[in-house]
Amino acid sequence: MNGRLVVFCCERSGIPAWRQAEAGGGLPEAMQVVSVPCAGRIGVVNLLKAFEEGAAGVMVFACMQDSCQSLRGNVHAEKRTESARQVLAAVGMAPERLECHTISPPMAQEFRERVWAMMGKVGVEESKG
Amino acid sequence: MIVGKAKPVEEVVDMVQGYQRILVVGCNSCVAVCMAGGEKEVQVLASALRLAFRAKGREVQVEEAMTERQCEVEFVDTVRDKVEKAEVVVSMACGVGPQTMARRFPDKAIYPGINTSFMGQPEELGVWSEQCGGCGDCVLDQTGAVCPIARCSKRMLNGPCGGAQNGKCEVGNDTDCGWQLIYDRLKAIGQLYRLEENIPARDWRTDRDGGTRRIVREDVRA
Repeated sequence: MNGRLVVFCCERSGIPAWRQAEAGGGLPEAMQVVSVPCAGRIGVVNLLKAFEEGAAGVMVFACMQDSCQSLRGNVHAEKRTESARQVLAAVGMAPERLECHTISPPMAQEFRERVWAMMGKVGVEESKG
Repeated sequence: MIVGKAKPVEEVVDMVQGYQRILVVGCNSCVAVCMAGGEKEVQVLASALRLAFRAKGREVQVEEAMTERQCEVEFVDTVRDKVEKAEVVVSMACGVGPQTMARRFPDKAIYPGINTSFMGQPEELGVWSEQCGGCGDCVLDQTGAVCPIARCSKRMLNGPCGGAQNGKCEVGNDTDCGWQLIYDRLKAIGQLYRLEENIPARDWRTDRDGGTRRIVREDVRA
């Protein structure tokens, strides 16, 4: 485990929320953002690969209900996150290390809070700037 | 198509417990279409195995490979190099795949990564149902193209039985009564008279009762 948080963000919701949060400051340094055209594009294998490559925790930020430009990308994202959680449990890893949330572009504060909450949950120590 | 379902990861982990070099091989035919043993599923199982052994404090080598059709030796030969480097192969093809691999690589341990379920069709995205029993003596001409062997829970040739209610079978699970479906179809094509024709007791040796089946065709044989 390299103590990193990998955060997959839909470019229509998670990415603008992240940019705003970043502009406001106070995001952890041990965080890697992966931009995707739609959270529904993230496969189970992408989530597992992040853990294989040493992530301490993995998060997915998808569009809010009924706001997905691809119609059901957020639904697919939640289902695939759940499938990946089941795999984690089956291989002896804590499924809580993987989370999926919906978010909209102006929700920078919620983005910040969820990321820090996950940092605490997976035990990555870093002081809030 | 042949429909299957991935085995629980824990079961596969147990199978390959003592090995250091593992190869997971998928099949691009039926099991890829039913999302049980295609490329994505191979990647997921391989990743799960690596994570499982890492969680146990062991680093194992897990490789991935795909065959176009794992039921034919010519296609299995395309992954020979990877098979030879591995100690064990987990096949994610239907049950024919591991047996073809075992025939081609007689000194290699080959394990199944999926449970082969039935010959069926997709009803909707994520839902598959059994359609053909592979009994070796098709009667679809007499039953409105609804298979009584696969779709009647009792495999009745002259149904329905008394267990159906509101078009559903007494076995539950929201299973349609096969003979209700046969009635509906015969009615739709104006062949209800077929229900008055008795289908005689049949010779089940063409099914599994006759032992392992084999077809020999001299006209196409080498």
